[in-house]
Amino acid sequence: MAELRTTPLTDWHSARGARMVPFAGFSMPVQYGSALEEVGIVRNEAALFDLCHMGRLVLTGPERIAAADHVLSQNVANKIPEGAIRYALICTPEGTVIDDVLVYKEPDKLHIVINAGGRDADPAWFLEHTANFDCTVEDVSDAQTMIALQGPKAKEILPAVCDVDLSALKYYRFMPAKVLGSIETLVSRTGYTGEDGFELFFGPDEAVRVWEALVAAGGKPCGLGARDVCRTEAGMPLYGHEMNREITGLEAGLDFGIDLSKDFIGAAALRAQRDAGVPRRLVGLAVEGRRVPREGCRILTGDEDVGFVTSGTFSPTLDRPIAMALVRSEFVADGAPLEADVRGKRVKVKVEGMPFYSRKRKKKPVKGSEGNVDA
Amino acid sequence: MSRPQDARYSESHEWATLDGDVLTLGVTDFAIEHLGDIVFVDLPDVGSDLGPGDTACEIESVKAVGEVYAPVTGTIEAVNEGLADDPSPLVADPFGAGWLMKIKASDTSGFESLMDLAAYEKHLETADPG
Repeated sequence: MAELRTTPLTDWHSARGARMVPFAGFSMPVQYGSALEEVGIVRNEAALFDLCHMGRLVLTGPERIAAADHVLSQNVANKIPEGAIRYALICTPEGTVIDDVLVYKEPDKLHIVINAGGRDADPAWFLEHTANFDCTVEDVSDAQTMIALQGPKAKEILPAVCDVDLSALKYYRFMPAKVLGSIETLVSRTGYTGEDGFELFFGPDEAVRVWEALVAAGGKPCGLGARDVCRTEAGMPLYGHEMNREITGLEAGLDFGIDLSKDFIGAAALRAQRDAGVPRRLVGLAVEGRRVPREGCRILTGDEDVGFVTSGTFSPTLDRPIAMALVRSEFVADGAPLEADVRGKRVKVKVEGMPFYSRKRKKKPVKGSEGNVDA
Repeated sequence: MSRPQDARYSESHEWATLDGDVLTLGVTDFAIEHLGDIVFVDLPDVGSDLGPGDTACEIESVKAVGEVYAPVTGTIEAVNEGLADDPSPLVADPFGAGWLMKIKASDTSGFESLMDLAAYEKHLETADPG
């Protein structure tokens, strides 16, 4: 195995006893202590995540927006105001997904956050497919530190280190700010946990200093395990699980990031799929009992195989197992009774609307006792 | 945590003791630590039959599932039923109150081939920390 890549914070995590695991070619902290407790930190306090492994691309030049609109499913020209952030997909010509990204529209450039797993493929795809546009694609992944501060107390902690005007920084907006008086930072009100929070982008030399200042202000370092549980509770898809090069954005229910009124790579295939009827749908599953249907478990009705689990976890916040599954469309009505083959045993599941957890309505009551589906 | 001298250990981090032909089976502190936060123990039915290497039960943590393998051929004589409602003894006392099941063995040779404590602790030095 090739040597794992590190982030400017890898040594900091290791020195403080984080359990490090290989993730997308990087050595990353999966948990500092208890993943259960770290989920609680996200939901009730403020968690710090090292996201340096994720990639960042910058598009500049006079035709940067047209170039982005050719590659991305979102309508970059018309549906992203300056200072705003929108979700988008990079699609194959067949409409399946190469990666999912966030697009930050600055006055003179586009800042695109990509997944760690896309750090090789995405820049190459952008370069290949924007060659005919007057624009420059720059991979700034190694030139930036990316840190997330997530949780209800994030908005109390951030002002201790950052001069950003939080009253002006709305959800899915970003602005430049200074951290610790002098560090040029891009701050966005985004995240991947279902809580209020921020993501910070700044130069790598300052990573440890900013991280420690956030810790001193009350941010608690957490591992990627808790982040994955939180995003699942919030019903947020993860590339490589809910979507990939064999699953389309429509099947994954990502319509909000797809504008089929414009042309982009994959648009024709997606329009054809929309018109013919989307054959599979991503759904949430409520699970009877406490066994967890995990990724790859088959979904059945009787002896008929109708889909598979894309992500499954025990939800500490809801105190019950939750799962997402890609299921044939004729079986996805809310409350539809299905079964999951959990390592050889049948477990009753029901289609449940997502998100499983929302910070606005907190715990969602589920019919039946103890949060389980009524059989 | 001190591991009992009189137990035998497997490479997959089960421990077992033998009393006559009844084998008591659990998992080690190492297994518990590496599973992370345990949320559910799926115990087998009393009376069910197992062969060596069969999955005897599953331990679910937030992010993973650990399978517990039977080291011997036999029949489940008892299970630690309280764990189904409260798995915390597994963490607090994996070699005592956190025992998983008792298996009435029809052939105890699988037990004899398990490691003693010294061999297991040597095995831990090279075990995959993942």
